[in-house]
Amino acid sequence: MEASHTEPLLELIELEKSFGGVKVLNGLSLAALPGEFITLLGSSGCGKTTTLRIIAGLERPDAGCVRLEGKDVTFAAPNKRNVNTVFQNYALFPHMSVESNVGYSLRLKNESKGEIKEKVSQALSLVRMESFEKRLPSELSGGQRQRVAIARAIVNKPKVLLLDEPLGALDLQLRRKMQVELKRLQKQLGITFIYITHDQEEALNMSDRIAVMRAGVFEQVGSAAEIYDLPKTSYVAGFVGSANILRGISPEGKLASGVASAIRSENVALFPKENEAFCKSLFQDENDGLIPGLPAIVTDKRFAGGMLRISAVLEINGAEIVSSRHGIDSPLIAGDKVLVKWAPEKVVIVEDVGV
Amino acid sequence: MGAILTLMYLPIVLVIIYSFNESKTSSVWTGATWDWYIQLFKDGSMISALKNSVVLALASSVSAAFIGTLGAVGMSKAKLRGASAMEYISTLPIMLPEIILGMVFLAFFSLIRLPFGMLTLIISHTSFSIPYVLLLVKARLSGMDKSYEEAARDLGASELQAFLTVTLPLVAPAIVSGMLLAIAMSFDDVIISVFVTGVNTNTLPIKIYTQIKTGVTPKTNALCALLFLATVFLAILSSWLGKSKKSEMPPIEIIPSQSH
Repeated sequence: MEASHTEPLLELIELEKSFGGVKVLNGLSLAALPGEFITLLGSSGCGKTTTLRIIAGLERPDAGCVRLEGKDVTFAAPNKRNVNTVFQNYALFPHMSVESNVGYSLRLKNESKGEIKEKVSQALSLVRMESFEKRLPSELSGGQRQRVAIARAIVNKPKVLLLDEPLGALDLQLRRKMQVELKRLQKQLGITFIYITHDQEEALNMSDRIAVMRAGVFEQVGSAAEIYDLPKTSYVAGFVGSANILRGISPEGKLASGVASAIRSENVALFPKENEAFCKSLFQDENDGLIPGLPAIVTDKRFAGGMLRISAVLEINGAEIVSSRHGIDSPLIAGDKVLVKWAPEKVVIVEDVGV
Repeated sequence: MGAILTLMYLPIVLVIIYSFNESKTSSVWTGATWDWYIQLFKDGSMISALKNSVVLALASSVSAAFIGTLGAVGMSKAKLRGASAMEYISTLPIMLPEIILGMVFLAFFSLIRLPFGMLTLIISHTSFSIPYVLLLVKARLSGMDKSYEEAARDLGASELQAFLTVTLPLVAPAIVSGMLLAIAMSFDDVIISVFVTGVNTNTLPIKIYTQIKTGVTPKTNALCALLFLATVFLAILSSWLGKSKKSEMPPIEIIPSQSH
């Protein structure tokens, strides 16, 4: 993010939290601007949900503070902060109709019946659930419950909306559809979204900024492009771009101690020795800048995510490298002796954090 | 199976049939009549015993529901050490022989010089009913997702509002089941009642019990038949309440009603 005149809406400053002696958050800081879509991305157990619960006020940090619109709300009760949550399991009240669920926060504020009715139907139409007002949550499908949960959380126009893996329980098709809708909704409402997921595709598709989380800290915070193209650490490179992390090998393919190179599998080519034509077919117009081939032995070939992923072991240091530059068909089989090539400018030198 | 059911229900059926028997002795059938039911409702001491029993059952079940629910909610929230020991202690009275409970209440009320009568009855019935409500509500609470209450807080409810609008309605079926169970327990209790009642306060079970000494008349049969119907009604009501709630919560397991 470039320097901006806008004050941050939500600030997390040096948050720390332990559960039963295990440190879950380890000095975590973040500043979110008004109307920003920020995704907390990380594998399970990295502290994402704890961070969200601290922002919501459902958990108290051991140290650090939370500021909302410049005010310290670290120890404010959940009902005393203008932040709403879409829970992972939706947490719709089972004894209330869709209408009553969505109107719950308005009734607490003693708004008039007419006003409540209007706001509820407005919120329901935003998530395209107008005709379900009288249903009970048990009479809705997973996707519909999810929409109602979102309507319930936005009806009160919070400053910040927290979403805890809201699409986790939906099937792939519905998930993609909801990604688009959530993004539309966020633009339309101009609310700051703090979104949790462990799905890197989801994060890359939706976010203004992604905060990649590991072991209770953010390893890197940046736009999707920054995170994907210029990962700072070996974990970010591996988690977001599924990159090969080559330890002790320089971008030029030389042995270099203390260096960790990250190169995504689609930028790696494997080809039979003395078959430069094969190599040329893999790198159509960027042949010139390639490194001299590193000898390797193919260990595995399988389909994943609609393309072939071929694994090989480098002879130089025994490191595994994966290539997905072969489309859906390749004559290579396990045991083949091959050369590995890539373009040095596609390699990013990262900080080696051990994973 | 048939044999077991026959064994269980034949005596009840006989009592109901003989409640319509014209003859004053219960062993010989001489013809059908409603007389005993009419006499039953004309018997002033019987009616006042019934009234006492109803008041006692309602008062003690309502207080037990109130205290038991508070206890269950408190136990589920407090993260105190020894919580499981406390839970065990609070449900122990279910296992204690009633004769001991009766003795204990007698000694206690004498000690604090509380006059025996309706008040002592209500206190003792409340106290032996609490564990049933407590257990049922606790089971319901522990099976309940705590994100419901968190969602309520998140949407702007104070702790009390969240409890009243979300938690309480969700555990209500358990509270009602516990109350019905408490009513049934109170209505059939003889032993504890005999220990703690005053000279002038008879409950229906005590009345029936004392009648046995003077000989069972078809009037007693009629009374038992009515009580049986009332019990069946309560049981059906209780299981219907457990099932009818359209919700994501599992149906309540009703503790099999055990007579002391």
